[in-house]
Amino acid sequence: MRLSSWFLLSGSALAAGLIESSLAGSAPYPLSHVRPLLPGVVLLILLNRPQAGFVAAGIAGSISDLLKTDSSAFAIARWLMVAFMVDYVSEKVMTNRSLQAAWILTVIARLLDYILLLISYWISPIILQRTLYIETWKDFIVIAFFDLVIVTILFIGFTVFTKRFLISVPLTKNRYE
Amino acid sequence: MFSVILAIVTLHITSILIPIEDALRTVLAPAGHFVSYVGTRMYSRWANRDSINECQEKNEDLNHVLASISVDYVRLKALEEENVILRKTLGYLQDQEYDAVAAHVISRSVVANRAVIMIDRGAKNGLEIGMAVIVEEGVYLGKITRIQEHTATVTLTADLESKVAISKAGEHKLIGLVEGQGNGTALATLIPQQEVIQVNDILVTSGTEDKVPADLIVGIVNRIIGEPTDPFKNAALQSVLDPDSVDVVAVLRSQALRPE
Repeated sequence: MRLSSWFLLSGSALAAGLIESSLAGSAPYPLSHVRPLLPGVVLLILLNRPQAGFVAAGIAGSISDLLKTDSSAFAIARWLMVAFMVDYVSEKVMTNRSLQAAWILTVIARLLDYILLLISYWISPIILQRTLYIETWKDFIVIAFFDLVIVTILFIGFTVFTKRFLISVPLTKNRYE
Repeated sequence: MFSVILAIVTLHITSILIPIEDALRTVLAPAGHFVSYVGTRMYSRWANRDSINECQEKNEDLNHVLASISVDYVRLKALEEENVILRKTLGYLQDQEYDAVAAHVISRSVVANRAVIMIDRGAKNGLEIGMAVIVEEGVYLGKITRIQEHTATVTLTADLESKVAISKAGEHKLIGLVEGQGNGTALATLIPQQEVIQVNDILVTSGTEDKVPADLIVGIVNRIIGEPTDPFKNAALQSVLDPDSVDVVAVLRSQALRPE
């Protein structure tokens, strides 16, 4: 990746971190359930840029941990683990880079995030001697719905403007020629 | 990868990163406030989109409350004027015991049953855990429950972990506690049965708690709950402001704690 791309990525990750920490608590429902980081990370992994995905997860996670009122959730650790596992699934399980693959990876990412959040909810009283309050599964469903919307928009945007996900085999040609 | 994650978590738990975290939080606070402000403005606009019927119902309720408060206001105004005359007569110099430290909201809890905000003032500004946070010259919002160098976490009245001692407006006598119920509501509890309390009574802080001065408005009684045979009764409270639309708050700091 070029230096300008890294700057753009860092800026986007910063914005995503601020949205996850400061906007999510203030904005009205259902906008409060828009969480752009994980769909963004999934897309970067689909674009074969896992390092960029890890950097984005690290930057947004650290901002979320610093500014969120319920900061004991270790967002940075959670999101790095999610990015790592999504990259693993994308590499070892997924066979193509379609919109359906993006949807499945996004749902997997959100599920993993919620499972890790539940684990931090259970271990928080032991490690931090503090009860951690987490979102309900109903919130989780709304967040997952918005994840799918965001990843669809991002995927279509990338397809239209960069043609990265297009398979460049003309339909008129025989595939095995 | 996992060693990096483990290192971050360990350093966070052992509080080794606190100076770095504080410095970063200070740098990020203006951006956090801007984004939170945008969200708050969106919320305010969204919240004002009630239907006409809802608006009419609200208007009727508020008219009842206003009528009740107006009577109290007139009585209190007369008492205030009398008080001013008496103070002047006695040559009494009123001491302001508290400073108001203005602070911006930089983030809010995203969990539905929690009512917690983070503000951009902290220990460096002389703030301490337990200090009262107010808005609009005397409406009690909550207390500081966690503090960092340049930021602080405020637990609002509606939070499940919030408790504040209360009295009726104008009577400096502890009558019970206001406890948060989650979902944006609060309940006045442990009110002795013999205590006379009515719908539309204004409840204020009792001043019995350290760092929380008396006479800060906590809420208006909406409904009395309990049987006459119970030793205590409860009262559902209506907040006089929507904490989700608050962007600037003031922390009441004792003058003795004012930084040099």
